[in-house]
Amino acid sequence: MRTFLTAAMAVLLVGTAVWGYSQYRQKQELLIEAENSYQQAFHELVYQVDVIHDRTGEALAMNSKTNLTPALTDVWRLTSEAHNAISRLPLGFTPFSKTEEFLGNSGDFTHKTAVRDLDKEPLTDKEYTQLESLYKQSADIQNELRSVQLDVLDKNLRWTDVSRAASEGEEPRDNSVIDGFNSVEKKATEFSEAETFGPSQVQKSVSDDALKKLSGTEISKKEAAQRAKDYFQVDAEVTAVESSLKGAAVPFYNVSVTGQNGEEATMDIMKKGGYPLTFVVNKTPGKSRISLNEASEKASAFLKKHGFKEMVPTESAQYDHTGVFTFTRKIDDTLVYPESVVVKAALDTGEVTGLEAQNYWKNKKERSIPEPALSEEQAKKELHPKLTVMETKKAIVTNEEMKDVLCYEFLAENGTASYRIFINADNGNEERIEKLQEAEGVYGS
Amino acid sequence: MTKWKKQIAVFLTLVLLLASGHAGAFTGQVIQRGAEGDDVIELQSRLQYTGYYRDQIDGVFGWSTYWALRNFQESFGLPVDGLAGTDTKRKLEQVSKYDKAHVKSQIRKGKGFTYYGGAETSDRSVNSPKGFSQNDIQLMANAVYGEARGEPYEGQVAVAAVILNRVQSEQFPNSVAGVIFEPRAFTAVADGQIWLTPNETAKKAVLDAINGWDPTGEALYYFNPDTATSPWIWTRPQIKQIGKHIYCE
Repeated sequence: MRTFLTAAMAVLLVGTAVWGYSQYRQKQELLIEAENSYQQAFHELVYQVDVIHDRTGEALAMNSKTNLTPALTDVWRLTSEAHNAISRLPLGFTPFSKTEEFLGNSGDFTHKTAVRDLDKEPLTDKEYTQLESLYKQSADIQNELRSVQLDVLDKNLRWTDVSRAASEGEEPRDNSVIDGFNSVEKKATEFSEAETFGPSQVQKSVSDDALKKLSGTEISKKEAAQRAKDYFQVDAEVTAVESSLKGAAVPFYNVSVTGQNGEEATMDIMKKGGYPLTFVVNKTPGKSRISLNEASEKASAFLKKHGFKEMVPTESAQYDHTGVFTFTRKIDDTLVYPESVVVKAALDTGEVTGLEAQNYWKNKKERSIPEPALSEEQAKKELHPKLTVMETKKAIVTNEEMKDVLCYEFLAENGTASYRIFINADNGNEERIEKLQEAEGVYGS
Repeated sequence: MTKWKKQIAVFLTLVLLLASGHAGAFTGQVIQRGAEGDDVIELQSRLQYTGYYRDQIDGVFGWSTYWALRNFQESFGLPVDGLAGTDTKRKLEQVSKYDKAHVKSQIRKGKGFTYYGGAETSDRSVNSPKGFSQNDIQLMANAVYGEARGEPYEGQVAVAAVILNRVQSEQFPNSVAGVIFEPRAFTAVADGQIWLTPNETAKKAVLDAINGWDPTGEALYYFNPDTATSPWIWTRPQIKQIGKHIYCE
């Protein structure tokens, strides 16, 4: 009898333990799910304010209704999304009404102006000033939010902790989130009454099928391996040559090589014609010893050596000890932006550590550059009067309808920001406006 | 009396100018847009000293530095190319002075900057790819590290590229955070591994993907064939295998 009791107790105990553990697991899972949804709301909010800032900045430089209306509509949509994101955060502990009011006012303002026929009734001076103030305010809020975001990321702060503390009526232990939101709130006070963009270099304008039109004879595994070794500038051994799988747009080889000091590189090469699609070396460069300028010359020589013709550097940036360059085809005095590649080089040795050419090959074709119908001076008249033009070029860009059009490219500034504006050289349309990215301060130090 | 003071000031300035002209603190490099570092700090300080540059001295050669330099070159009859080469640097050294220690200490303190005309310095800035903040990069690095830390470098770039391909795709949320935290999208998010501290490799991989590298051939999904539980994922057209992951459309 006693053994029976003991056994029964033991079963019960184990049962309880199992039940308890599964309860605990379930609770953990729910907690993580809640946490993820808070995190999503928060990071989306920061991003939306980023985009509000950039889009209003772009709107300030726009002169045509065809662009201004969508930009304002975008801001309007983003303010409502940001509003929505705020409502999903457990912010019971801190007043956040002014920020919400700011978003609300900006939403009203952009809605009012977006639905209006701006050709008949363009923005008034007062409205332009309001737009400027929206631009400046969103910058302040963006700064504050980003520093909260850095805190959240760096200290691994949990929104579920914040929410628990708030519901128990006490202050959360780490106050940086609260402090952060309080200072966001402070900045959001003075708005007088009043498709998001994609990353510039990751433009995927043309479909994969465009690669199929490239001609050439099939290359062998061995040739592909040799080609990858040529690209890798150190003495290397080929470790693997794999074929792409069935769903690839075009069949290609994926070659892996390893250098003598363990440097690894991989490269995708099209089977037909052996076109290099993408090439990347896993290398952390040591301290910079050569300049960005020198590295860009090496990158240029690298392209020439591998058969890329008529390419000129159009963009350069240094990230730690790596230089990243965009090279664009230039025919006479016209830049052909769809035919661009990105190259990166290590600034310690100057060796090229990457090439991305998929878009280049998709857009590569014989071109004849037409004569522009408008003169540079005529095109300039289409720009917003508050802009000062600093540089003018001729360029071919892909527009919204996926057509390549000849444009005048104006680099201009208006005292607060710099812009790249493409005006169609035949009909004067504003084809594209980009606010140029400035360096970002490092927060939280 | 004031005239006398002025003369002394002019004399001192001349002495300083000569001294700095000889010092030639610039290194030999041709400084171009996108560069970072000490030469850029000096370039910005000297352009500010001469009144051509009005923004923060932050050590990153961005657009406002570029305009300032071009205006400077135009005024001084140099070829207007926006590059700080030998002639331009020599001219700058002749017409401005640069107190390196002072500028550097102000930058370290993150102090407002009165010496060079009231402009501010930032303690440190970095180049940021268009449309991405440093925090976006950090968040993506977290996701890449959580998802693919055991994978080869190419596989880490690939995971970052898939996130970006999703942001671009109509079927997915249109922000990085939206894509990463979408319920049941990434296992590292579902089990909390995303909050591990990412290493430099993950960050590098993210930067490569943002700068345009896509080793996946524009994939929207990937899965580990040994552990995948969803039969649906096997129906997707497969593009390529990198490490343990198969990437598909």
